[in-house]
Amino acid sequence: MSKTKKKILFVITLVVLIIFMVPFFILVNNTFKPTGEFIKTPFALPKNFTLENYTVAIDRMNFWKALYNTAFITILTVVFNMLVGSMTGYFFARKKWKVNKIVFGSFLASMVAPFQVYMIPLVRIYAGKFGLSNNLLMVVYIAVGLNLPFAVFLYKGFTEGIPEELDEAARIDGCGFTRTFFRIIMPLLKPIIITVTVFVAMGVWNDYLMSSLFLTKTHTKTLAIAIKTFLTNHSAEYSPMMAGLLLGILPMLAFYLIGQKYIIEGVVAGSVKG
Amino acid sequence: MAKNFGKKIKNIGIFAGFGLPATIIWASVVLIPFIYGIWITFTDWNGLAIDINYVGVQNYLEVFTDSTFVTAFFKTVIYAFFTVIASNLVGFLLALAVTSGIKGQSFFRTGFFTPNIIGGIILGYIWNFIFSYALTTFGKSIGVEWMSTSWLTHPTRALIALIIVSSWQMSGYLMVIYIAGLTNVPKELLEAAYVDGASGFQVVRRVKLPLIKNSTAICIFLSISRTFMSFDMNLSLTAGGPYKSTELIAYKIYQTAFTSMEFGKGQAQAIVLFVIVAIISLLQVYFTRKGVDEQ
Repeated sequence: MSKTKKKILFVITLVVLIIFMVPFFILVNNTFKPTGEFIKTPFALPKNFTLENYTVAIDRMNFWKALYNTAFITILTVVFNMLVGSMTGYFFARKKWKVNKIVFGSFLASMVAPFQVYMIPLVRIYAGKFGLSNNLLMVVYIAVGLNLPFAVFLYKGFTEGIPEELDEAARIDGCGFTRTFFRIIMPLLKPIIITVTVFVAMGVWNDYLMSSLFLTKTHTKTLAIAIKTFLTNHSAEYSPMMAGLLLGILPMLAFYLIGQKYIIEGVVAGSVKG
Repeated sequence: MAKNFGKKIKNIGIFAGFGLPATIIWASVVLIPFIYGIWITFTDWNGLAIDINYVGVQNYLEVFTDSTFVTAFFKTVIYAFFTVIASNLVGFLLALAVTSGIKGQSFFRTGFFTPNIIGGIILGYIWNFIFSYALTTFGKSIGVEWMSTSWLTHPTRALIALIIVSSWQMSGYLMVIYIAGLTNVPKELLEAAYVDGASGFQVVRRVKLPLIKNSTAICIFLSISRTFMSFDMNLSLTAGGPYKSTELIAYKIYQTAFTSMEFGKGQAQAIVLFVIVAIISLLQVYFTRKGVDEQ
């Protein structure tokens, strides 16, 4: 392509990107206006600049508590999923026993099902029979389980690419199965750990449907649920609502700006699972 | 003999440490709920009644005779059709643009992908404000009638809004998959084509498109199954309204189960969705494997 053509294409792409981002510009701009001003002039810059919308939103949403709950669930889910997923992936990759093949096959088959299939039974079993509503750890447990098949699938595939001679060398040096995994194999899994972790973390952090079925009390709500409640229950506080939405975006956005390469890779890894 | 026995014990130990935790968690969160869910579909359980009666295949029959579910299904098909076409088209064009060697390619990628790091609930609400207030103010100021009232209060326009917002989000996602395909196209082939006098459009049509068949198949099937499972945005953008005109399947299942409290019927609807998504996934595996063999 010639230089002029490239320049034209650059300008076109830039214009498209700006159009793409318009919803965010409108959002950010209006969080600094009183609601009345937003209704009258949603596109103009703030005339009566205010930060009050943020204080209102933080208060109404119980923002800090919701942020804490979201982080708590996400971090624990990611850690357990990584530990259990990588150990199982290694186990399935190295021990081709019949039972392992059956279990792994069942894991794979279950990846096809949408969450809607588990939704009603999960509520019935965990919230109903066991009475574990509003228990953050229970949400962690379910999130770990729902994300396991995919994690094991990726860890197993990656481990199979690590030569078994490494395991044998470790065994000759006196390492057992467990020690070989933690000392030799796990450090080599770093790239795939990042991919899986990002994928699981994004899914759990942004999850609304699953957690909303279990977390109904103010002190257990995650960000997505707190925002939903705030926007449904307060009918006319538009500017604080938009401030709430922006507050909900900021943590993820900060994370994205730091590790965008890994995040794009991790999120898209979900698409190659077929 | 003794050695064999010792090995067996050791293997059981390894299984208990490495295989059992995952198997137990998976069985309790995925397998048992799935089987239990199938049992629920044969009952009239409503979450409250103490005695639960078996009703045979009644719930499944109701799924197909319930006009609101059939409507939700067709709405989903229409929504999926337009969203898949729009998001793939835009995603592919964006991928072409950001692999063409222009300045700031990775900046553009990051930018277009941004909607995918934000949850559907939040995105839906942001657009809700745009459609309800920003767009209407704009419409009134330039005196265009169809923009002066909120799109979300008009059945057809609300569905169009849902298609626009979903395509807006998904195109950046699909773009990344198309980029992966496009960067694998050998440079020599492109140069040879240009030397032979092919135009930019011809290179895309005759060289790039045939060589990224696999990415295209992934993108199309992925967008189909994602649109069929769409829930969050449906909830926050239109909440199924106006007058339940934009209830998509996943949203309908939620309503049947948790608003009408008809668990048996809701679970039967969920099983129908499961079958649809499973068929799409199997077709994807079939077509992408085939694509790999051809290359």
